[in-house]
Parts: sequence; C-alpha cells; structure tokens
Amino acid sequence: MNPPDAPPPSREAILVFDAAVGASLLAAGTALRAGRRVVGVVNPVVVVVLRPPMLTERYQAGTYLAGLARRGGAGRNEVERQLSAALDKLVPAVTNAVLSRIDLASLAEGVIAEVDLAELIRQSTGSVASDTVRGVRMQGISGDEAVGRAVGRLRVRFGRRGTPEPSPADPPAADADASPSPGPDVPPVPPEPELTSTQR
Amino acid sequence: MSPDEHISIVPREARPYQGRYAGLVTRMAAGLVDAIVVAVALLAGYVGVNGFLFLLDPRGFQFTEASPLLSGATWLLVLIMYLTVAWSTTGRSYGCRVMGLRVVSRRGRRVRPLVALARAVFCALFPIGLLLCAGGRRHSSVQDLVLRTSVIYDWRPGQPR
Repeated sequence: MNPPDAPPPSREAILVFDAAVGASLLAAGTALRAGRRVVGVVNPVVVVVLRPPMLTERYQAGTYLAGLARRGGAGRNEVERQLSAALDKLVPAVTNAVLSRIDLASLAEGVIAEVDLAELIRQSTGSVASDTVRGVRMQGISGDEAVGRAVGRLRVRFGRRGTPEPSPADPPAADADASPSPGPDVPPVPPEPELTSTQR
Repeated sequence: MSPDEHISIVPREARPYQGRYAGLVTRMAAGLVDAIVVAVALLAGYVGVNGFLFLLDPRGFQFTEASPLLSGATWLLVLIMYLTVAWSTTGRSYGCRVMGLRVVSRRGRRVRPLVALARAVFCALFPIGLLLCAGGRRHSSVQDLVLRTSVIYDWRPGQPR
C-alpha cells in the first residue's frame, strides 16, 4: 500500500507491470502442460524399466531401489541420532563458553534502559500513584521544605535576639537545624540510589 | 547486585526524598485525609444501619438520633482503631498512602502494636502536637518525641523493613 503522500504510479508503469505478470502466467501454464505431457510419455517407460515383466520381482530394478531406500532411511535415522547426541554434548559447552564471554548484566541494563522498564512497572503497579497523586505528593514535599526553611529563619532570628552578637570570625549557623535530611542517626530508609534503569 | 538497586518504581524526581523525614504540610494533609476517611466510613455505617432498620419496619421507620457527643466519641474511637491497625501493619494509613508517607520506629522498622495504639491515641486527642514537626532536623512531632517514632517519605509499596 502506498503511503498517502506518495505520488500515484503512472498509467504506463501499471500497463508494463500487468503485461509482465500476464507473460509470467502464460509461461507457467505452458511449462505445466509440457511437463504433464512429458510425464505421460516417460511414465510407462519408467514402469517398464523398473518393473520389467520378464523378470521375477526379486531381480527387478524397482525392488533393488526400494531396498536401497530402506537402507538409506535407516542410515538417515542413525545419522540424526548421532548428530542429536553430539549436539547435546556440544551445545551446553559452547553456550557456556559464549555466555562467559558476554557481560549479561550490562546487556540487561541496556535493554532495561532502552525499554524504560521502571516506567512500565510504575504504570502497572496500582500502589504507585497516578500523575495527579504524584503531583500532590511533590507539592506536599515542596510545602514541607518551604515551612522548614521559614521555621529555620525564625529560629535564627529569635536565637540572635536571645544571644550576644557573634564575632565576625564565627561561622554562621543559619538553617543548620532546619535541614530535613537525616542526621548521624541511622536513617529509617536510605535515599533511593540513582538507578541505571532510567538513566538517559 | 540485587534488582532493587537497579529498578525502582519511585519516580526520578521523588528519589532524593525517599527515606527523609516528612514535614508539616504532608503530614497535616495525610491526617486530614484520614479524618475524612473515618468520617465518611461512619456516615456510611449510619446510613447502612438506618437502611437496615427501614427494611425491618418500613412503616414505623425514623432516622436514629445521632447526638454530637456520641458521634464525636465514636469518630475518635474508630479513628484510633483505624490508625492503630494501619500503623502497626503497613506503617501507613490511607492518608499516608496518598501523601507517600510511612510511620516507622527510630530504627526504620515497623512500629509495634502498643506503640501504634499509643501514637494513635496521642494523635487523636492531641493533634496540635503535630505542629512541632514544622521545624527541627528530624521533623518530630510531640508524639514522635514521646514514642520515639518517625514519619518518612516512602513511595514504595510493601512493608517497612
């Protein structure tokens, strides 16, 4: 099917193509008829050659050919069996050798990064939120940070009023108490590592 | 390397916050959602009971009286039970789930049922204690300070570790 924006083929081209198809069909029909005629002529000859009526069945060429075919079939079965046994031994060894030379972990990571498996899991997991809930959560986090900063500034201001003015050499301690990140205690859940599955 | 280290269902923008202590806004929003959930559940129960009474005696049916004091006490009781079960099992109520929060012990583990019960009672009877979590390094509310619990951002499903 042509794409919608492709130019339509010319009338002459269609005519030539149809003529070529017609010629091919004519040639095929002629060859079929000739083949049938040849078979009709040759078949009686073949029958006479393979099964000459003056010989007993034991000495006919057809009998010899049938025996030969039986032996060939048995040989083919034996070859198939031996080949299968050899492949059973060979394939695991070759596969192990090939796999040992491939970095499957990096290959899998590449595939995961390409198809963005994390996003697929995220979309198929009901527990994780739709875009709306995700937005609400992120806005909540932003609100937490804003409130934390405001409280931190207030603390600094009230702290300065209650304590003597520090000397210029002292480092400022602004917002040190308002940091939302876990301190020296064991954090309840470690922050998510930067994941390779969605690295772009 | 375990698969968890490579594949995370947490969106990229939220990953830096995972495991950090949650602040006032998200916790208040979660509490509000929980309060509304319990109120809606109570309302549904009230309607259900009255519907059942209507089916038993359609002619003499009248809506049962709901005194404000009794309603408030029931709401508190259901809220406490609901929060206790939620925090002691998954660490998150529905409000926490919506806001991506989880209640854990100081060691990051699931809180014990008795601690969850005490925290639920504390939160239901003294909600103003939540305001303390606006500041501070650990964003601890009064309840957290007394019971040695924490509320963290945790968007991942499943149980706390």
